[in-house]
Amino acid sequence: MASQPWLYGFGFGIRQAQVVTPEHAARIIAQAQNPLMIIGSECEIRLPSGMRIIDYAIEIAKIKNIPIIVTTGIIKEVREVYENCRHMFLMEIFRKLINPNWNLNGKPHDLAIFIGHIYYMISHLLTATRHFAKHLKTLSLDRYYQPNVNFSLQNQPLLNVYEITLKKIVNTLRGLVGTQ
Amino acid sequence: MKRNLRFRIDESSIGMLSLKDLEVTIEEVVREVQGPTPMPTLGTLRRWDMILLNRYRPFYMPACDYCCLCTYGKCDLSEGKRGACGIDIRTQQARIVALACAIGAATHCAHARHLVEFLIHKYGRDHKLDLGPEINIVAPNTMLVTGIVPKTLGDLEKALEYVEREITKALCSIHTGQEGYYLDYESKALHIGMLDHVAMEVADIAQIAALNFPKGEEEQPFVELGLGLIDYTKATILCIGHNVSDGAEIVEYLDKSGLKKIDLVEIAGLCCTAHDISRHTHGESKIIGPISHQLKYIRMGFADTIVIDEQCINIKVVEEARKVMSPVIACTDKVMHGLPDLTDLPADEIVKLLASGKYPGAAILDEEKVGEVAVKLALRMAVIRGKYKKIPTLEELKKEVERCVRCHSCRRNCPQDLPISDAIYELKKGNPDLLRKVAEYCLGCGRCEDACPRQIPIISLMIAVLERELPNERYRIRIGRGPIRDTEIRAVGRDIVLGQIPGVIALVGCANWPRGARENAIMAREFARRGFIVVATGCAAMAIGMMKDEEGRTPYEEFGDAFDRGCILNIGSCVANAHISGALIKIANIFAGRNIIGNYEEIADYILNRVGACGIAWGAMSQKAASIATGFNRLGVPVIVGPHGVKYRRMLLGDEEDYERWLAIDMRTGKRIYVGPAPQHLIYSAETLEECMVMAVKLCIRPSDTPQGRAIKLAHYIDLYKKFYGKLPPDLHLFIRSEADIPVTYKQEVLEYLREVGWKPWEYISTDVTLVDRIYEKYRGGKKSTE
Repeated sequence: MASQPWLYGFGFGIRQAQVVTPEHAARIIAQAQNPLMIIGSECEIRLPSGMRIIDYAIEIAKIKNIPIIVTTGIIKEVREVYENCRHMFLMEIFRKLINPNWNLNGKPHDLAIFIGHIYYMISHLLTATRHFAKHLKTLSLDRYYQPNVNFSLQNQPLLNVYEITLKKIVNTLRGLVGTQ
Repeated sequence: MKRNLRFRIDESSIGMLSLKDLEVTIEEVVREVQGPTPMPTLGTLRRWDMILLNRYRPFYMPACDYCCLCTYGKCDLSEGKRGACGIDIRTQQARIVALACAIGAATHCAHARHLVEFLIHKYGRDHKLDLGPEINIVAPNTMLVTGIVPKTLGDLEKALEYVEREITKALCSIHTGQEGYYLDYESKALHIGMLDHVAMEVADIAQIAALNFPKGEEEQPFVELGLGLIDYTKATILCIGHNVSDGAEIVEYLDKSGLKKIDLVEIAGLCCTAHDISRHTHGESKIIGPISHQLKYIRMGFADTIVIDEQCINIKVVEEARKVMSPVIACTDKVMHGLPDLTDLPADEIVKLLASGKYPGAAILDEEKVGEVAVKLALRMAVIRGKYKKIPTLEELKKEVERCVRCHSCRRNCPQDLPISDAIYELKKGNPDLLRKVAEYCLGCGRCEDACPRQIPIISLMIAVLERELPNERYRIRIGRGPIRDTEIRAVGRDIVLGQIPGVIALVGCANWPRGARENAIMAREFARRGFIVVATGCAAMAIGMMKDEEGRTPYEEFGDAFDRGCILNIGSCVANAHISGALIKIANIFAGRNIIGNYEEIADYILNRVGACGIAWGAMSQKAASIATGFNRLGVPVIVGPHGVKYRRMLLGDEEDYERWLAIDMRTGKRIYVGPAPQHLIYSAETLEECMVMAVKLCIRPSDTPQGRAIKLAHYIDLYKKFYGKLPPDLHLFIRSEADIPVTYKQEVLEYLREVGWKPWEYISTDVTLVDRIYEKYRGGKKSTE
């Protein structure tokens, strides 16, 4: 179950994402030259500590000043705490992601990090980057294994387990970026 | 064709002459010439398609890396590889899109064929297609595409023959080793979508004319809607599907036999057949709801007889009906569900056989016999099966819940990814709240139950937790009014084209909603309050009716049903979608005087550039929805689908930053000028309700907007975007041609923003543009040439 698509029938292809540990995910983020983070409509799910997925996403982004794209109205709140953010609709983001010349800051992006998305929607959208965005690596920090990225966390149906994972990513990344 | 002028003099005197009750009709015979493309074949409108596809490029989401359509394969098409036949991943996606559209269009076409043959058999080939005194353009899609101006039921057969021929050709192109370029498959998909609108129109105008449906009149009566429509005292016939022929025969049998007067039998419908029976009975039947209510209602056991016709029928219907001893009658040879064909037996014998339980149901391929058997059987079964008519209670199902081990199989099989396992676990602990919430979003497909290793009846549990609420699930919806009248188009066409009515929003499609039915009602209300014209069909039209305001009114009770600013219209069933495209075509004809006969490219170009309209298929699920949307796209109408819509695997998206894509020909000078990204996309999947509303408003922007019209549209765009996302839209400057376009209420803020982004007024603005050289040539210099 750990590395099977969370929803049955969502195994799309021959190549599926490599399962990564929280530490490995943090290393991928730390090593990226110009990552960006895309936060979806399920980012407001509250975790056992009272923090939400969006709060961890912002913490991760802050460590490396990763530009954030938020797809929903939570952008109003994100703007208050993190300047390097903007709002864009998910479909339009993907249309831009498959264009190797598109970027947010004048340099090509080499990693797109996804977190807080509707599983069935993002799974299909990610088939577009998988097939048509060879210039880009993709990493899913969502709660469920996402086959259509390059790197994905394993399935973590229990929220407390997922929260521990997110904390580990934050802490490991902090350590890695601090030493760079 | 004719245009009528009518006037009436109640009482008047001129000199010696006195007049009383004089009604005069002047028929102006307008000679419309045959346009350049009557009955276009697969390649005829390819040039128009390529214009669209150059601007709105296909964005593919390959749902499968393989092609498995022939025995060469499976062929792996990933990483740039090609199949054994040579196909690549893009072409394969476009091919599957074309295939989905072909399935959808064929379904409507076969539906139309059945109806037309049935109605010709009953009423004769010469039965007039009379849609009332205010509708002279009876069949705008048929006229536009085929060049035929149908007058009788018999004439519709010619249109259907054309559609059938073209669908067969399009389907043939999908065979291995045929079409080889993705944009050509996209062109074929657009062609098939266009055909679908002809097929739908044929079906609906045939049934309107022959079965006495409403003919576009306003203030249609209300009909009851909802799962709570439970009447223990009557025999209930539940009709599921889309084809009204059998439902109409049931109604006729009740009339003829005198049973209607006794009022012992109730006809309830599920899915589009419910709309059409209510149109036929003018509100004397009931609508249980959309397709998502199907399993739930069957399991509640209130159907004494279930009649299935065609489309959107749950494949488990016979199995489910058997559990509650409801016999099933299948009425078309397309949908027989393994049931014995008892058509040749006398009606009473069929009733006896089915009531005995010997068979779970029967196929009866004779509409008249279906009418008689359904009524007699329901009356008989109502006596026999009283114990099944009850909502299951939690107490009864308590033991079932205990078996849950929280393995998550239910959730992982749920198309919505609903937290069913958590909800059952909570229920096990005595808290039904989460399951109640899950039930609200549930599509009623039953996949969770099939996946459960402990066979827990999850759908029954959802019904049980709502046991107390279900009887209150009763709403009111207006019956489907059918076409938009020519007089209505005359009244509002100008305001739509100039932008003073901000747009026509069509809420259509199936019940695969991401967060329950309510979102349709929320959108309909919001748009109507903002002065849009909201039209609705199918399951979406039902969903709009399934939410009450503080005063207990549904949106249909709150707003009028004229084709006018701030109204919400139930147009009817799926096939009534053709009246929405038809209304847009009629705007080009009635307001702008464009010939519509066999003149597709010109009218589509007109609609794309001038008619602010946007479809929303928030729960689009079926292949029919794919072909309907694609037909709208070819006609120049953008469509938004919900998050599940990405599973159609292809969107048509514009790139707002690519200047070249937004050039058009100025009709005055012939120069290619920038018109801005309007409309920005042709088919687009939105993640959330908020995004959908913002995008729909934006997709109503057209180059033809006057400054006042553009300012109105931008005011809505800014207002909604700011409300949901807190700032001015980041692409706002692309839609402002001059300062006159800026909404007064946001003037200062927008001017400041424009300064920040370095906006400059456009050098040249034209509201009269085309994408087609031929059309400029035709109207060069503002004068119509002799073409």
